[in-house]
Amino acid sequence: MTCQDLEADLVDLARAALAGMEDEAAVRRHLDVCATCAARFERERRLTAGLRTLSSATTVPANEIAERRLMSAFASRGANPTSSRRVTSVTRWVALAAAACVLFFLGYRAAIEWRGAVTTPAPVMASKQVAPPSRDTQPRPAEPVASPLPAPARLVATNPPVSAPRTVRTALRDARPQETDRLAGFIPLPAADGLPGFDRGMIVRVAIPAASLPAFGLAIAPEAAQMVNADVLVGQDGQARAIRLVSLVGGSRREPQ
Amino acid sequence: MSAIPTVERVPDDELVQRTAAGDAEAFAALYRRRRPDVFRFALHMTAEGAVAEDVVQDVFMTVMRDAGRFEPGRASVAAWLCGIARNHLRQRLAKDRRLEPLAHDEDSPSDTAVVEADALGDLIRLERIESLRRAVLSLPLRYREAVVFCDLQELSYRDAAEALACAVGTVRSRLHRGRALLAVKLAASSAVVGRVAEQRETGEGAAGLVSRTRRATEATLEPGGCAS
Repeated sequence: MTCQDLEADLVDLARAALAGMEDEAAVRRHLDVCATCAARFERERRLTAGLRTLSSATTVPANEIAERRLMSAFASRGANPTSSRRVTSVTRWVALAAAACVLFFLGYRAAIEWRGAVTTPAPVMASKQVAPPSRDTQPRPAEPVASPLPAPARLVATNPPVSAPRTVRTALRDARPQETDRLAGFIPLPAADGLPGFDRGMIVRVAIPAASLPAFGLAIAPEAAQMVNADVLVGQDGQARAIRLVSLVGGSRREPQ
Repeated sequence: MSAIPTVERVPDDELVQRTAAGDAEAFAALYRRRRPDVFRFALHMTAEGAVAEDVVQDVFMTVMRDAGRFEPGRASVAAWLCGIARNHLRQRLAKDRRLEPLAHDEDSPSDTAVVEADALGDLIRLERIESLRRAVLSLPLRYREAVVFCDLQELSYRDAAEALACAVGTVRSRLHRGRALLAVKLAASSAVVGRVAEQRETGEGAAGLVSRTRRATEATLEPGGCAS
């Protein structure tokens, strides 16, 4: 055992911090045989004594004014500071929750916009799917979309058209209160039961033969025109999921039953 | 049937808990019991009574607000209060560098200047205790904190570590280093005092005297030295 090994213990012994510990005996044995460490220990012991004298010699003046001020401040905090702390805590949690909601909303909106950018067909593609609107022309056949619609049903662009195919979520997000009705009234197509869940899609306006309406669970007055306008909700896989009767071509609108 | 203890006999931990619950009597008892600890700590660190009073106020205002944050099993109330005091004091020192006139790295050349400026003029007049107080004040902050907490406030290593927000081993090494520096400074001061008469007689320059004395004492107090 060297002096360096005992250096820290030597100081602790001088501070009486080793009292009763195993190291104390070892340090004391070393001090008996090492004059240098014994002298060092004596210096440390005197230093400890001096520091304790300094500590005890330091007087603490009374300060009644400060004490009264503190007690007054304590009393003015209210009868139940724990309650106020709870209020503060609740307020803090409410603020945190509000901040979380805002962040969630912003994140959700960013995600929707990103997904919309990915899924919304480019204008060129939209023009392939939906013919340009024409008020004066008769409904004309458009490129068919794979769907469980009956064969006679053809996708056509009518007026007022959905200006461009948009994702349903984008439409929902952008819809003003008075426009949200446009997204209501869809009834599921029977053939859509076995399809994957609806994630995103488009609303496509079509003109279909009135005679096919009963197949969708829609009734139409006998005097109705031959063709009717309907909105078809097309899912992300191009499969039609729901339909909504919009108007009779050249006649009045009938609500779906 | 045991009597309900008066507030003076209530343990510190309970006083803090009752303070958190809004008990003004408990807060007053805690203040009267622990104010001296906080005051002494701040005074030993700065030697400024006014600053020490300010720190006491700051500490107990913090207690008033955050008593509920005290964790009884973690450290003593004294250590918790000293830790709060240390934080307030550090903020104060950061704002007012005047309060840190003697803070410097150990072994820096300014040590000589300190002894020269203070010791030569003052040590003859001052008592030994004043020399020690000055020596403590001249320690770098981290060593001073350790010496004040462990040797002047007599906190345990564990409590000092809690107050200083560091490991027990760090406290111990800082304390030992701080004490070694104190020993050097005190030995230098004593030697200077002993030689002042000689200086007066021979007309030796103050800087030369201090420098020579310092070199001699440092060589004497070099750690290690023997093996058994």
